[in-house]
Amino acid sequence: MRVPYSWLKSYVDVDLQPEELGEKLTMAGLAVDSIERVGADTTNVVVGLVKEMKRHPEADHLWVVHVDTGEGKIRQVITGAQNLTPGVRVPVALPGATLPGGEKIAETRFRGVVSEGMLCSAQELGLAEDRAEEEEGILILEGEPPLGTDIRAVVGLGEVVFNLDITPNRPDCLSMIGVAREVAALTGAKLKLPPVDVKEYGGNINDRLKIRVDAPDLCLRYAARVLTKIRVAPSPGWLKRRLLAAGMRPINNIVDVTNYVMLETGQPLHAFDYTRLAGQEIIVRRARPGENLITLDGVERKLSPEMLVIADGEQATGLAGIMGGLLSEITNETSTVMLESACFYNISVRRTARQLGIRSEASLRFEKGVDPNGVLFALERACHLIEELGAGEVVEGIIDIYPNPVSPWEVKISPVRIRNLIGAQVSDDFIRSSLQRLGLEIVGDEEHSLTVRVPTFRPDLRQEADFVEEVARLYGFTEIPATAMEGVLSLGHKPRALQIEDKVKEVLRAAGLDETQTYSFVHPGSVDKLRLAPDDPRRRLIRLLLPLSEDQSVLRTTLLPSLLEVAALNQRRKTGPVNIFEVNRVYWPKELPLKELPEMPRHVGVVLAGPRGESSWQGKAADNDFYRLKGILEALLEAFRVEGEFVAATLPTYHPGRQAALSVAGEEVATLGELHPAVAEAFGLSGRVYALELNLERLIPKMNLAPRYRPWPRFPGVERDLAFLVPADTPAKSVTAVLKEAGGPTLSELKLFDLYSGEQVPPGYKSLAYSFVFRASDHTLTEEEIEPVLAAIIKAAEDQLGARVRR
Amino acid sequence: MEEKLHALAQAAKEAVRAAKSLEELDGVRIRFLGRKGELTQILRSMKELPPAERPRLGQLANRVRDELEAELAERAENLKRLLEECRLEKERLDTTLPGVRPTLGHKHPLTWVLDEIKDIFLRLGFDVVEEPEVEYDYYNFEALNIPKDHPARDMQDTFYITEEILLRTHTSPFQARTLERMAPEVPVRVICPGRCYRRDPADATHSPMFYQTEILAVDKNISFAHLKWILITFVREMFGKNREVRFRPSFFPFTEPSAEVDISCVVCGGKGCSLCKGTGWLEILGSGMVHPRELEIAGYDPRKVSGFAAGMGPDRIAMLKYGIDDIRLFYENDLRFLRQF
Ligand SMILES: [Zn+2]
Repeated sequence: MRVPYSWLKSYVDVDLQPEELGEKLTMAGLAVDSIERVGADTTNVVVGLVKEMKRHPEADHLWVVHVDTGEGKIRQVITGAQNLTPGVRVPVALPGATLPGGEKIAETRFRGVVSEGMLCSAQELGLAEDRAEEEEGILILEGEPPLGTDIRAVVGLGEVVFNLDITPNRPDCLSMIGVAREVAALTGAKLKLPPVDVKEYGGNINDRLKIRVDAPDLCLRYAARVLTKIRVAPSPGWLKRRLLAAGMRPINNIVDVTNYVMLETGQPLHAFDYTRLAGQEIIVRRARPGENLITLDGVERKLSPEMLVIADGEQATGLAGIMGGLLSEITNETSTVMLESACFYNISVRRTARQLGIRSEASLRFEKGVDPNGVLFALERACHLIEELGAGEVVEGIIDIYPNPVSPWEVKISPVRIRNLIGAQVSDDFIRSSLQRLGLEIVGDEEHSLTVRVPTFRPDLRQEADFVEEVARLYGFTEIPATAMEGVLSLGHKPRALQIEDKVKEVLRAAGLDETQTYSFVHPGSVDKLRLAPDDPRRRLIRLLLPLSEDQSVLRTTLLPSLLEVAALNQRRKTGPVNIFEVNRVYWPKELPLKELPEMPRHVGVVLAGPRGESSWQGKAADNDFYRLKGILEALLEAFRVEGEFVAATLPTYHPGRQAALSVAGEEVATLGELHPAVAEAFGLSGRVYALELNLERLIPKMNLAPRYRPWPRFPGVERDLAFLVPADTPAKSVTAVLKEAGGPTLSELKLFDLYSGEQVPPGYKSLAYSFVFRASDHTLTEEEIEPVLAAIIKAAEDQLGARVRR
Repeated sequence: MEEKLHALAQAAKEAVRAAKSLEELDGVRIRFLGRKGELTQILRSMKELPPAERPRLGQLANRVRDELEAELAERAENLKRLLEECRLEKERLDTTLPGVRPTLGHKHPLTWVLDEIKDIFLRLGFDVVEEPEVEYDYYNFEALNIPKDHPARDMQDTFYITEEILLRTHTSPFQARTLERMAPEVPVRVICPGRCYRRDPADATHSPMFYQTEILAVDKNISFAHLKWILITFVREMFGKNREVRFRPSFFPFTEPSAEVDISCVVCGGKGCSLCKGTGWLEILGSGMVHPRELEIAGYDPRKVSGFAAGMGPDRIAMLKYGIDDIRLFYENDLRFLRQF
């Protein structure tokens, strides 16, 4: 909401510096976004008189205009504007001039013709909002300002304008008077309402106009006046200047008055060309099926039956509260006007405006809520102004359809509770005077309570809490002390799942992985890119009703696509080795379409693409491989003291021979592997890529956060190394199992230290070298004790695995 | 004999001095003190001397031997030191070459900020809770005093999944859920961090997904003054002791009174710059006293208890704290970005 300071001052005596008043408004809840000084930086723009104009010899749409700027010589200026006639006075930017925003004007040539300056539109002077170019014309100055006068003095440049950010609970402040009422409450000054007296010129409105409201549920009140002897003309300068400063374009005196009064009172008004109303009647009704309306902006709108229209005897002629129709628009020929002041139901206006994609100053105000009891004040104010401008005469009588009047309501409040909720020593007197300054009436003043009557322009004041805010903001939020909370000392608790999540991230960072944060929504095709089986439950995606794009249209059931996309992006941008992880939720519907909230388990995803780390001058970092990936998972299990078992897996996402699943206490919690080349390719990844996904939610109950010390053995172990030749397809796990079994209790450690195939190993075999540590808990083992155990181990390996000891 | 001993002592001394390596020195020791060494032989021939001279010459010979041993030891020590110095000199490195670093993973900037927020409020005695990101319309709007068609729903464009289920647009549903779970117990002191979603196309300042963290306290006699204390304490812990904090009236459907909390600009400190649009202030938190209707819906008696709530955007806090000018950087995950944190 743009509030020109000089306009505001018409309703309240306030003499503060703009910054000072801005601060007061902001601190009272009317946030000042900015304080503008319209066109204050404009220089060298002066008043000029158009003497003569002719077409540009080379370009039809350009004019060569001769202007007198009072310098004793005539300047030649080129313009593309089509609204000039000889004899009008216009702003002329001389060469060397600066326009708002810093644009500099110099002498230029247009197709060979010199232009000694530029003629300016309202927009170029910073007086109006941006508009399409074809609507632009040169600003025609009112009266006869002396030639050569600085334009700032003529059109009110330098006017201070407050840009207010009005919160949705304060529709009353979408008006100059509303803001002035706040200023009055804040400064103690008195609010002065503008005159609304109307001289009636006889006749009877009821002879001229019939109004019927067929949809009283959508139209709370409908009032109208008829004005005759209308003289449509440009508005006087003061009116134009105020509209421009408030961000609206002047059109003609009648339309300008309706806009002016809307800005002044917050009540939107609309003027209809009376003679264009078929049957001289108005019906406020829902649109008929298939009904169309061409609105003022020239667009043909398809209406639907839940939309409220203003119709004449034949057809819709306006969209209630949003925009008038082209047919009944005020034109230069208009001689009689019907002026509408009404209150439409906010939700209906919002829905219609949104459905048709129209936002107007009127609809904005109706959507937020208009005071039905302010309807007549605005109507009378507009009639008063039209008469004052000598632009028309008011026919006797008002039609006012208001079947269910809204009355002020009363709220009982407790000053003690208000004081306690604010937490400051706010006196009863202060509470009383604050309410009165806001225009509220105290109708009951008892021992422990006040009864306040709330005028209908403050729909936000319904219960005591609302008054706490009013008192607090007038008291000043800054004045309220900051007080430490009292009561029982309590310890903040972080739930176990979050403690674990934090620790998991810590472990993964320590493993050298960078943490990512990716969107929870993905492209539905991402499950195809992963080559998920047709019956894979992760194909059951939750779809958004109205996604921003297909890329973000379903909730993810796995973290992998997001991580793979991050990996691909970083590969493309060559940002270095990609070793990343994320801990976030995935979304698994219990049924589709969703009837209840989905399962949202926390997952851990890891993707390794490229080397393990940065290379240094000492050499390149080793490449990632399956065992590094598996090692990360093993490290994670160890950190939480979880025993897991890796079992074979057959997921199409991974390399058929390089994947596994992790199962803990019989439940699968993770899958891992080298990405299938088709999957890597689908995501645009190059090289071998490794990925794992862990369902942390399933693992959490099995995790142990409390370490427990166990003493290490007191007697030294005896070490022996043995290498076995086993058939190449024997899994290491079965070899280990056989060796452990045969080693019995004296075998305290068993570790693979070498895997070898090649020279000296027969084809179809591999060599696995293990180091054994034998130990007893009560003495140091002797050679004689170890020999039989070793023999048993070798025998078991030979018998059960077909192994041979490699000497 | 005596001269012989003196000459030997002299020769041995010179030989020790002349030895250039431990091996040479060992040769000297063998030449004089070895089993067939020159001094050894003299000592052995002592018994052939007249008994009267034996003690004196014996003493002399022993002294010569002791001195030689001491000199050998000293020389060995010196040589060892010299050789070591020599080796160390040869091992000199170019210490201006870069170090070889261990690969450390990086914490995402949003995680840094979320952790810090949680930590501060944990210390202030608030429990951390998590609530669902996919949420019922009821908890996201209705229970928060935002009925269908309320103008406040204008402020939020929502991702719906069905008519009744949506992606939460704020963490505020946690207020309703927490109060419902706790009522009529007091005190309630909780903080809820998490992901939220709005139908805003991504640009430098908007993201369809972002984080929010919300706090809630309900107890007997909680006032706006307490809200001020908690939030000022938080802001100064987060942004530094000298940060100015200002509360100004605003509007949220589920608090009354409502306050927007501004901090003095992190760039200009309050003088006015482009970040703070010349005002010297940055909006950082929305807050207010819990609306009595919300307490009532949950089963509290608003005449007996009161509470406050506040919500903040970790994304915005991270942007201000780290000088990040585009929110999309958080979710794009370019490693050149992530590795700076
Ligand atoms: Zn600043």
